[in-house]
Amino acid sequence: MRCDEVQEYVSALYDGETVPLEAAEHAARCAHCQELLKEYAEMGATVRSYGGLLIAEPVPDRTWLITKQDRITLWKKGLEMMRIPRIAFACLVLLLLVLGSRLAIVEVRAHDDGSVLLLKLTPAQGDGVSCDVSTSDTNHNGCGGLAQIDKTNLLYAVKALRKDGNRVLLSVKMKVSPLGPGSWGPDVEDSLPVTQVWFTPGQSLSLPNTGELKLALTGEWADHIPVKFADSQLLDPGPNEIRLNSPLLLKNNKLAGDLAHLSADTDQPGEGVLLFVPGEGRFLLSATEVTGAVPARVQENRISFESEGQKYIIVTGMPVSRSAQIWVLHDAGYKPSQDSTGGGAVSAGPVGKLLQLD
Amino acid sequence: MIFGPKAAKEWARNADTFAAVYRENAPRLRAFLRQIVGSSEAAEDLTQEIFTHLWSHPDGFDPARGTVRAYLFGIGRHRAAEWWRRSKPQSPLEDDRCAASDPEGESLIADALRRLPEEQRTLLWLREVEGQSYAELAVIFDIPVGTVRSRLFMARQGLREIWLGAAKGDLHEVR
Repeated sequence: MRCDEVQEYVSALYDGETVPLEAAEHAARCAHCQELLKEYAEMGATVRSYGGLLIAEPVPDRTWLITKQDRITLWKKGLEMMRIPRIAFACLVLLLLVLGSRLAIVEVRAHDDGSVLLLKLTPAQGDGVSCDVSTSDTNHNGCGGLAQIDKTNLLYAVKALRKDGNRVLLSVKMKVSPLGPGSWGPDVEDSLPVTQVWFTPGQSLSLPNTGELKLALTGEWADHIPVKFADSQLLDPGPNEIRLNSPLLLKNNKLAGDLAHLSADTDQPGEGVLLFVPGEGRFLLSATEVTGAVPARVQENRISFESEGQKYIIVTGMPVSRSAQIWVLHDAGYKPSQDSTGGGAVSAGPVGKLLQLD
Repeated sequence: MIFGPKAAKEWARNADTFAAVYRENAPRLRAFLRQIVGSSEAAEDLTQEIFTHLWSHPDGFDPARGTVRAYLFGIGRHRAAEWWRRSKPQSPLEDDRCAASDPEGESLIADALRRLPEEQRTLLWLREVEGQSYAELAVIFDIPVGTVRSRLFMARQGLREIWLGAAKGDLHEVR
């Protein structure tokens, strides 16, 4: 073999790969090929040395976790503290999942020949839970959460596994327990007993593991996942309601915090909504005056107020309150506990308890 | 870190396990991406995007097709290509041309690498720095193993030309 025919194998030899015997024999006795091998080794060592320098530079720790942990914290705190409407909160969580990936209001109405299944879990008494799943988009093929219905905690997760004509194979996870504080997350979902059922839109299917609730599953086809808020499709706030949805904080007209995907909501007298923005402290929003709070003007999805000589505007994803004025208690010096993720957070509940949150 | 099929399903369910994967692979992925995009800041952003996506969508990783690292580098290549389409920078040579702290030798090799075509640069990087086997490179680049051998040879020859040219003071770009 000639030198130019062997050079490719010299490169492979340097990499420790097997080469034809004839090429190996040539490379062993050819001074030019030996020189080439030496150059490859020198270049390789230099590239590795340079690579080692870059790799040694530290990376930020666990930034991938912040968004998800913030959401779980919200769920835990919100569910533990929010009394009514828990079912609305569960639906709000579903709404956020939708908004998180589809930040546009869909204008077309649902048709019955689509790939989306609008499911409803309906108890024998009380309101049910909506669950919209896509049979074609694996990023939106499931729903789940903690709904508090009547005197019961319902943990549920439904996932569309496969479509066969007009019917869909569903994975259904359900667990019912007495009403009380609870949380929802991947670990909880994994712990639930699972069954698989074929479901045909139009039928009413009794679901297992739902005890006294006696949940029935109904549903219909649609061509998209509709955007909803709470249990209706109205964006109008209810009486006494204050809600924050993906809030942005502007300070003197400059962006000071962006809490995309985070949301909190309350409609009970004596309760409020808490917003924590790193570097800006925490803001307690209340329908009634709280000691030390300043009045804030509400214009649909904007809350404007002044605190310590600074002008603040909170812009949210939906109308905040029916009232044109709410109260904001700003604690600029507030710092979260050390085990916090360091990101922003929102929560809702009784004002006294919110102020005790660390 | 090697995962069996069951562990692979669980890996992103456990923050500590995922953190171990992150600590082990994020610096290497970032260094690799920096070779493609030419900017340390963009490489950092892309690395964080990739791990954030992986944390919430772990199902894309199939241990039957290779290691976590090979999977990450495969995603990294695609994300970097998207980044190029999105940002359309003037040229990688404009960014991070020479880190001030680089010793002379490292600056020379950094410059030489940047003058290689992107595929040759990334192929060489994954082989020399990451020690990826020909079989793993074949998966990442979606090419036969025989093609890995010939393209690695071409990459080495390209780098060698630039390297020797640099030693003589006539750096030029290989196209």
